[in-house]
Order: sequence, then structure tokens, then C-alpha cells
Amino acid sequence: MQRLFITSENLKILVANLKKSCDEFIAPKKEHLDDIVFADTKNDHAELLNYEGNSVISPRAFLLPQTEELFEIKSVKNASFSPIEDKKKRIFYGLRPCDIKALTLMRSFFSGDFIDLPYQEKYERSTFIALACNRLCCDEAFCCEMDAGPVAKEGYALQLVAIAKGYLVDVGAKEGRQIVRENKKLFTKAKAADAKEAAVTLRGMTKGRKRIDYKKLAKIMKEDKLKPSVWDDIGLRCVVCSGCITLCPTCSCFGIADRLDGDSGTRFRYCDGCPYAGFTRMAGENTPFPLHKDRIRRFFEHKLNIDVERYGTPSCVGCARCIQTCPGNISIRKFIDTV
Amino acid sequence: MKNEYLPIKAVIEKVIVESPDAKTFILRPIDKTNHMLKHKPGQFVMLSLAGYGEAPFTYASSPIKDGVFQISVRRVGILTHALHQLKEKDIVGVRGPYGNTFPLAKIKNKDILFIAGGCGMAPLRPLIQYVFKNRKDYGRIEIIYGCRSPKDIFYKEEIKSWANNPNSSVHLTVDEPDQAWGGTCGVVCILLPKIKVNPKTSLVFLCGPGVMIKFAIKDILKLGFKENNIYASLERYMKCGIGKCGHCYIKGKYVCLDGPNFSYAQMKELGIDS
Amino acid sequence: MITKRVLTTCPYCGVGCGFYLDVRDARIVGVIPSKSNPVSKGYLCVKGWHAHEPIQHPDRLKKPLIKENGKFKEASWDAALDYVAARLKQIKNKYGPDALAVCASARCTNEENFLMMKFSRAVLGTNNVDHCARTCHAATVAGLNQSFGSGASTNSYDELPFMDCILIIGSNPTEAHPIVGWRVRTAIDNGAKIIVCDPRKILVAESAYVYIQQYPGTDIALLNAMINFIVTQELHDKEFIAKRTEGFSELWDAVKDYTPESVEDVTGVKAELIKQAAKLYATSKRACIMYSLGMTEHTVGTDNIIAMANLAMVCGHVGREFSGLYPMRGQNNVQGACDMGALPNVYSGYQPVTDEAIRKKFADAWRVNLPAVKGLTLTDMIYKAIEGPLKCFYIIGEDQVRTDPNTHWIEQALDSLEFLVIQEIFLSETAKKADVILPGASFAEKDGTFTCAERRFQRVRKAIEPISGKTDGEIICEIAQRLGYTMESDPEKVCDEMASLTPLYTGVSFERLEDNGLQWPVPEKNHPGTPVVHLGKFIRGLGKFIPVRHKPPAEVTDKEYPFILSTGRMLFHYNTGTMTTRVANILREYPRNFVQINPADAQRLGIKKQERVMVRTRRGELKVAAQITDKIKPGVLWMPFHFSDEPTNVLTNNAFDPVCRTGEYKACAAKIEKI
Repeated sequence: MQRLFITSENLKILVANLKKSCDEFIAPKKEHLDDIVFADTKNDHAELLNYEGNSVISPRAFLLPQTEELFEIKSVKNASFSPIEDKKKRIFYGLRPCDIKALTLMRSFFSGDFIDLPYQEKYERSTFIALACNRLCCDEAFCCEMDAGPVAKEGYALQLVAIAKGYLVDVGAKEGRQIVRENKKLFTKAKAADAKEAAVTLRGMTKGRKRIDYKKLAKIMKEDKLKPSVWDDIGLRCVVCSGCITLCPTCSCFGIADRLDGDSGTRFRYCDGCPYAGFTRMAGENTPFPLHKDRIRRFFEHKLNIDVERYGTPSCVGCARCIQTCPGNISIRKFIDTV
Repeated sequence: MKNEYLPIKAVIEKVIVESPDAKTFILRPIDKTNHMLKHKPGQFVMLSLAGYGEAPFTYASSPIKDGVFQISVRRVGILTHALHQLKEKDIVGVRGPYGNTFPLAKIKNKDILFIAGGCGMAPLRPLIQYVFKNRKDYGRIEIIYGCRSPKDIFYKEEIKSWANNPNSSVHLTVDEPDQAWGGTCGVVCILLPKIKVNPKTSLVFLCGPGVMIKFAIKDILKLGFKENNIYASLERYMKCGIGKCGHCYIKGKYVCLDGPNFSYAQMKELGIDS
Repeated sequence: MITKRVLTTCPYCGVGCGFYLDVRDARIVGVIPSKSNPVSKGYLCVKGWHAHEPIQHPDRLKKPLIKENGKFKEASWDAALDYVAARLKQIKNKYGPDALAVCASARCTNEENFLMMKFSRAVLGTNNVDHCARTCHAATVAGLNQSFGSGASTNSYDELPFMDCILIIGSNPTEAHPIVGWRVRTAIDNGAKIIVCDPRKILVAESAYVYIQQYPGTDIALLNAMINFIVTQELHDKEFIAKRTEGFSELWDAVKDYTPESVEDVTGVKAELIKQAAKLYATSKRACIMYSLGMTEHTVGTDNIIAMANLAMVCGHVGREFSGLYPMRGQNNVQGACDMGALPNVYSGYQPVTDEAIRKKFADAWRVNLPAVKGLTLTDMIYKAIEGPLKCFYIIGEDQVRTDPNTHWIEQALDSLEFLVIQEIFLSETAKKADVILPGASFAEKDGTFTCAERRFQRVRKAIEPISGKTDGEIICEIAQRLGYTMESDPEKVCDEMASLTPLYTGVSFERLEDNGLQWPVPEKNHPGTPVVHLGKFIRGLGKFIPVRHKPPAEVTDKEYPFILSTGRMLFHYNTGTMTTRVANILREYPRNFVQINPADAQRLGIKKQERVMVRTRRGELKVAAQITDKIKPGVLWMPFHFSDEPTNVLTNNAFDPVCRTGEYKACAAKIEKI
């Protein structure tokens, strides 16, 4: 892997150059007061790299929005449908390693025998520039424990690591090499001292935080060795707000519905998932997951057990967004600690 | 890349009334090169009625040459209600085929027992047709079919013809007989003593209401059939048909990809004791 | 593509959560919670998370509709507004201004409500203006005003997590006000002890320290018994009673016979439980009462509120931090609509129309003569429509046919009118009865403010252009213009006008609301707002004990109708469901109406799970599915009221509270039959 250095001033020039090459430049931005959200900053230049806390929503919202049109229904009577294409080139800038890991996981999920075109089409045209974390974004976060921080291992074109006088740059995928080639003058070779500084910072963040043994965790969950009271307590807390599945950077489930205005309209998909009883309810009121606790269990098991079996890593990246938005104070982190 | 969610057009070529609340639709995809027709027994198709959405239906016919396929639909919900209003020449959207197929290699040279209840005959029909088409490749074939009343029996003429095959028999039973009914009355399980296949080596295929499957499996296990030789189609709420939307997910399996046909051994692993 | 995030306030319940609408081009594709919002802090409920879905639904009304020969025909804005203005003028000339009435909307902004009440008073010349607070928290305004001098929440949400004891009565915070429910949950996690009094064992009751399952309509007996026990055990706050209140001896006269034992039969609650609850509430250092429509929607609604105020004052649990009464308001801006004077007796800030000096202030500012007599309440408007004197009704954003009790009665009233104008975003049942429908704008299409249940003004911001072309405020102003009176429609200027005329909100302006909003009273330009009211001194001076006694509901059970039917809100839906039934997964979760019944009752009647049954009252009948649950007390039935196709309010009773005129939704006699 190539390791380069860029000064903060040159990074600004790089950003300006990158903006010219894309349709949307998606970066963290401060909205009202201290709210950080990912937004298109191509024109307002409000992108931020140094901010407190995690972004409210994950950048997933740009690849799999809360509601998204799948295709147009031209005519109900003739069953005539026409695709909606998204050919935009997007650059994602300043993504945290947890979100990078999540997007990569979602990409594997949306490919396979059948390809989810709406996601894949956008993902393949996107470039991801990661920003390694030099401090924990919030008290609840546990990315280091879930093997999702403080640096991204794959899935980025460039990864920035902040040091005192600028940024170290890890060059990842081929888009990364291309960016460097096109902006050669802005980069210098990283010095050993800089690399050491970065390593110290990162070590500071991971100090006292051990990667959990997620294989063991998966096994305990699979063998159902938990006290029933753990699930009972969760059952009393869930109020089916759907916040967890909407903010989770790896949740990908959706529902599909038609919206018609006369003889034409659209078929769209919307964020959907485990907390809803109706998500699995079949005709005749037969619900395979009748209780709140069954449904949250399905949610946790998928992330912490099934995906470990399937992808070799849990699909919870420890970003803590679900914890911070749960009106029942359910914490997947506390749950993991209990297990 | 292909947008897997986009249906293609299919014309309703014929509508056959199967029972008071079920119809069979013969559909002709407009695009003849489409792989919609290259389906195998056990697979399903997603049918779109714009405005009502989409629902999965198992192919009710074995792959036939003349560019059409069939689905049999019982009127239960909003979409099926709307579908029943459609007539010949109307157009619907279809995509597929999706799902796994019955284990065709495994059944070669074996005795086979089919147990169907009500509209559960539809998913089994392609396999039955397939087996009879290649009759010499299989051992004894027994078909048990139970319905609520004689009116509710699907594919009446065809079922009669199945019994004419060598080394095969068809047993029917109804819950509520009418005056003309001379046959057996009661649940499908009461026909089990009549079957003449070897439980140790035979395969069983079941499809029907959940309760029926539950009791039937219990009884056939008692007769000595093996758990991994018993296959049933699982019904789950599904939206995409291609393993993405998550509705039909159970313990790491997607019914639409890994199923809908599972052996009883697999079902037990998924925590579904029918 | 233009992407923008527009910060606004949730349009559903009265909690007042803040979120961004995620706008891409002109489409709203999602909702992003705002972590820095002081009310919701990054939390939302299922309705809030899907607040974007109904906005651009194809069913939205887009063009004005005029009814000709019983059928609606699309019309241009000019044609429709000209027609409405002409008819209003004609009716006013023929019958006088009091033949007209305006129903303002708790769904619209403060500024629009201010315009509606101004329109009614200054343009039409009548005080006949009211809104749906009449069917929810009018009792709170009437009751708390008498006891404390102000009819709103005494404290703020953020005190809740630090309470030692929360008494929840007639309120289901988890379902009806989920983000306040989150604070209750946090309080429990912090060690607070919860008392729940509810005929249904709601979710918080599962985590409650004491759970009391009283019969609907017996709350005063229960509360008086608690006061009785507290005083007999000497657990009352004598110093507080002496220094800050008056009328204690009159109260004691009224409650001295209400021993916990004596109310066992009427409430169906064991005396021991009442004692436990009373002791816990009285001896906790930080204790508050949270209530909602389970208390107000009774013929004794006002008395219910007074009984709670009495209990709070007896224990000294009001008038300081970490105490008080929390009336949980049902609608996004029902607090604001009251505050803005969309009521028949007061101008904005509860300034009486009968006060000459105040009337002169408004008359001078608006350069018109203003009517001096109180107008009709919504309840009385319905009576007057049937009796004849009321000829014309201008309803904005409300579906009376589905929300008011006894549907057939309301339909009769609307059918009796000469002219009915409805301003709506979807074709509601009420709108179908209109002569003219004017397509309004949703919360995402306008600027303005909402006031939530903790008296906090918060900004509402425009994310997309009005789908119909005009906001509700603009529509009213254009009609006013056609009637010869010019009103400013710019929301910021309306807000300034309102602040200049209202001492309670003097310091309110868009600029000052920008960051975190403001909690009223805001009596001066730079006043920081008031998180806790009645600190040190009640607004009325001394807190007043008003003796109240138990009265049974207007309709009690008998041989023919042996069940008490109560109604309420559920988590997934909102009011008549016009918005929530247009959200795909919310509708899927609960697509149809149902009735809850105890397993013992169900077994006795041979009713099976999910079986369709007939529920009958003296006013109507309805076929619904039976939901058998041990969460409900035997002898009680419960139904939600959200389903327009299976409307629960054909069953409910339109008997009303004599003071605040709120209907008795929460208790009537019913029977249930197999079909």
C-alpha cells in the first residue's frame, strides 16, 4: 500500500478538483446547531472533517434512501413499466471507517446471484474517501470492539489520517491511484515520523478497547444460551419506532409498494424491517415473530450471529446510531456485554 | 446490468375456473426469448398488478413448449381479488423464475408420494407432470389429494388421467361431501394406510395449509419415512423474490432463494416444526 | 439534483419533535431526526420517522372543488375564492355575522390560527371560532385555569427523567406520546417508581411500581380517595398548603368520606392498592402527574383535572422544579391553537373578548369594531346548526364527521347548513359534505410555528412549494381581501403582530425561535422563556382547592348494554388516519379497526380470536375484529378511533362536560355480539 502526505491547504485544492469531477459531493456537514448530517456540498462547500459526534444518519441514505422509486408505472392497464436510471457520479468524502465497512458489507449483500441494480448502479459509480478516527465519536460507540475502527481496511479509494500538520493518505482501490495520478503535485511521500505520529494517535484511541470475540458471541447466540429475562426486558422496551433499522448503516431490508395517480405512477421501496409485526405477517394473521422480543432478537441475531457465519464478520459496526435513537433505551452494546 | 425488479408483460391467454374461489391463468410472456419459461418444478413467479403490488405464485404447469405458463390463484387478499377480475387479453407484469426446485436428481428411480391439500395441488402439479412425462425413470407413484368439498378439487380431468399411468394411483378425499360424492371423506391422513410405497426409500412431497402439513408430516414420520426425504413448500410473506428485501428471512436462509422447498430436516434446523 | 435538509417540527402529536425533511429535487425522500432539538434529541416514533410519506401522496387535493348538483367539479382558485367570499357575504347580510362559524385547526401553524381567529372576528364579525381542543384538552384549560390560573403544562419534559415518582393516569405515553414515553422509560431506568392508573394494562404498566386498573369514568373517586388517605396519614405538605393555597378545609369537607375502602366498588380497585399509590406519590421527593384524554374526555372532564390539581397541591408537588402536572396534548399545535385565541371566549394569550380594554386594543390594531359577546363552542355550533341559527361553517383541517362523538348527529348538523367550506389536504369524510373544498397545504409546505405540550414555540419550515399553490394562511387572507379587508399573510409578520398584541408572548419572534424555540410565558422582548410556571407563586396568586365529587358517566351500563366502551389512540395511527393510512408500513401494521375484550368476557360470549363481532351502543353499531387480551379489565371494551372505513365514533356518546363542552369519548354503555 502506498502511503502519502497532503497538507490541509492542498487537501482543499484536492476537494475543489474532485468536486469538478462529480455530480454530487457527499460529505459531513453541520446543519442546525450541532447536528451533523451527510449532505451534497458540491456547491455550498460546507464539508467538515473535524466535528464532534457521529453523523445522525449514515451515508447509506444516498445509496439506499428511506424511500426510493424502483421504476415508473407508465400504464396500469397495459402493465407497462419503465426503468428509472441513476447515472450520477458521486464522491463520498470524510466517511468514518464504520460506515465504509457497512457500505462494503451492503455491497456484497446486494450482489450475488441476483443483483440489486438500484444500489449497485449507484455504488459502482461512487468513490469513497475515508477519514480514520483519531478519537471516539461518542460514548456509546464501540467500533473498535466490532472490528470496524479506527481505520478502514478496505472499500475506500483514499483514506485520510489526521496528524498535526496535515493528513496521511492511504491509497486504496484503483480510483484512489487515479486521483493521486491526476493530482500528483498535491501529495508528497509520507515521512516515517508522520507515520509514527499517526500510529500513536490511533493507538491512543484503541487503548483499553479490545476487539470482541465475535465468533464466540455468535456461538452463544446460536446455541440460545441467554437468560430469557434478557429478551423479556428488550420486549418491554421496544416501541416499534423503526429508528434502529432506518439509521443502521448495514440494515438493507425494504418493503415495496405502488403509488398511483390515475393510470400511472411509480413502484417504490421503503425502509422496512425486523421491528414490525407486519414485516413477516402472512395471510390469516399468522405471524412468525409475534412478540417485540422475537423481532428484536431476529434483528440482533442477523447482525451478530448469521452474518458472522456468512461473511466472517458481524454486520454491526458499532456506530451506536441505533442506541442513540432508541426511545426504549435498548442498547445492542449492553446486550453484547451481557452476552 | 438488468433491473431485476422490472416486470415484463404477459398476456392472459385463458382463464379457467378451478373452484368457487380459485382460477387458473394461462399466461403468455410477450417477450418470447425471456427466461420466464425456462422454469423448473417448484419454482415461482412474481406477478405484478400495478397499483396492487406484487405477489409470488408457484408455477402450476411443467415447462411447456408453446410459450405459455400457468398459475392457479385462490382469492384471498386484495391483489388476488383484483386478479380474479381480469379477463382474457388483459395484461399483467411478471418476473422470474425464482426459488429452488424440487430435488429432481434425488428422486430418480424412487417411489414418490405426493400429498396435497386444496390449492396446494398447484405447486405439486409441475412435478407430477414432469414425473409422468418421464414415467420410466421412477418407481411407484401415489398421489393423495384432500379438499374441503368436491367443488374445490383443482384440475379434475387431469387428475383422473393421472391414475391411468402404470404403477400409479390417485386417492381423493373431501371434508364436506355432496350427494354425488362416492369417495372418501375426512382429512388426507386417513388415506395414508392405502399407499403402497416403501417408506425407507420413498420421497414425499407435501403442499397445502399449514395445519394439514403439520399433521401429515407427523403421520408419515410414524410410517417410517425419513426426515430428509420429506419435502414441503414453505409459505412466507415476500416482496422481492430475489433475497434482498428480507421479509422471508429465517435464521440465515431466504425462503425465496434457498426455498421455498425445504426438506423436513432443513425445516427443523430453521426452527420451523411446521 | 438539489439536495437539502429542512429542519421542521413533527406534524403529529403534541410532543413537538424536531426533524429534517430530506429533500432531493422536489421530492421528500426521508426524515432525519435532529439531535440538537431540545424536545426530541434525536429520537422519533414510528409516525415521525414516516412523516414524509403522506406529503406528496397522489391522493392530495390539488385543485379547489365546487359542488354542483351533488358532484364536485374542479375550479380555478379565483373562481372558488370569489364564490366562497360571495356566499359568506350573502349569508352574513341575510342572517347576521353570528350565523357563521369558523373551525380553526390544531394541525395548522400558530400564525394561521391567529389569522383564522382574526378572520372570524375582524372580517366575519363573529366570535364563533373554535377548534378541536374542544374534543380533547378544553377541560385542561378550564380546570387548571381555575386551580392555578394557567391552563397548560406546569413543567418541562426534561425534568421527567429525574423524577422519583410519576403518576400516569388516563394517558398512554408509550403509544400516544412516544418521545415523552422515552423520558418515562429513562426515568424508570434511573430508578423512578411509576404509578399507572388505566383500565388497560398499557406497556408502562408492565414496569410500574403500582398498577391500578380502575373502571373508566371513576377517576375522581380514585383521586379523592388518595387525597383522603394522604391527609388521614398526615402525609400532606402542610407548609405548602398554608403558604401557597386556599380552600383546603372546603376540599377536606368534600373528600373526607372518600376512604379508599369506600371506593372499592365503584372503581373496581382494592383499597390497599390505592393506599400504596397515595403513599408513594405523597412521600416521593420529586413527583409529578402525567395525564391525557383519559381524564378530559368525560362529562366530568373539568372536575377530573381539578381533582388532580387538588392532589398535586395537597402534596406540594406543583409550583416548583421536578413536580407538577403534565397534560399531554394530542395534536402538534393544539396548544398553539388555544394560545392563538382560536377559542370563542378569548383572543391570543387567553385575553377575554368580554374585557373592554382588551377588545379596544385589538379593535384599534385591526381598525374594525369587534363583537363583544362570547361565541359558540364547537359542541354548541353543532346544536345550533341542527336548531337552525347557524347557517354556515368554515372548517379548516378537521374531520368532524370522524372525530366528533356520535357520527350520525354530526352528519345531521352538517347537512342542515346552508353553506359549508372545508379547507383540507385529503378528501375526508367531512370534506365530502362540503359545498366548496379548498385544498390546503401540509406542514412541509409552509413557514410558521407550532407550540408543543411543554409550551414551547418551535419553527416549522417550508421544504417544498404548496402542492395546491397556496398555504392555508394565504387562502384565508385572499378570502378576507375579497370581503374588503386586507390581512398580512407573511408568517413572520403575523408572528410579530401576534406578539405585539399578546403580553404572554411579547418576546416571541422567528429570529428568537431559530435555535431552540421558546417556552411561554415570554412577557418581554428579551425574556428567556419559562420552563417551570407557578414557581414561588401561582399565576392566579394562591392555588385554589376546588371540591369535586364523583359523578358517574352520562351513560352507565345496564342489562342491555353491559360493557363500558372506551376509545383511544394507538401507536401506529394518528386521529382519523388520513395521514397514517397513507404510509405503507404503518397501514400494513394495523390496516383495520378492532375491539379489545378480556378473555373471560370473550369466553363467556363464545368469541374467538380475530372473529368479527358486532359492537352496539344506543347510537350506532359497527362490525370489527375481536382482539382478545388480558390487558383490558373485564367488563370494559376498548377501540381505537383511527379507521375512517370502520369509524368508532358512530358508537361514542356526545354527552358533554357542562363547563368545557368536551364529549364523553372515554365511557359509554355498549354490547358486543357474535355475528
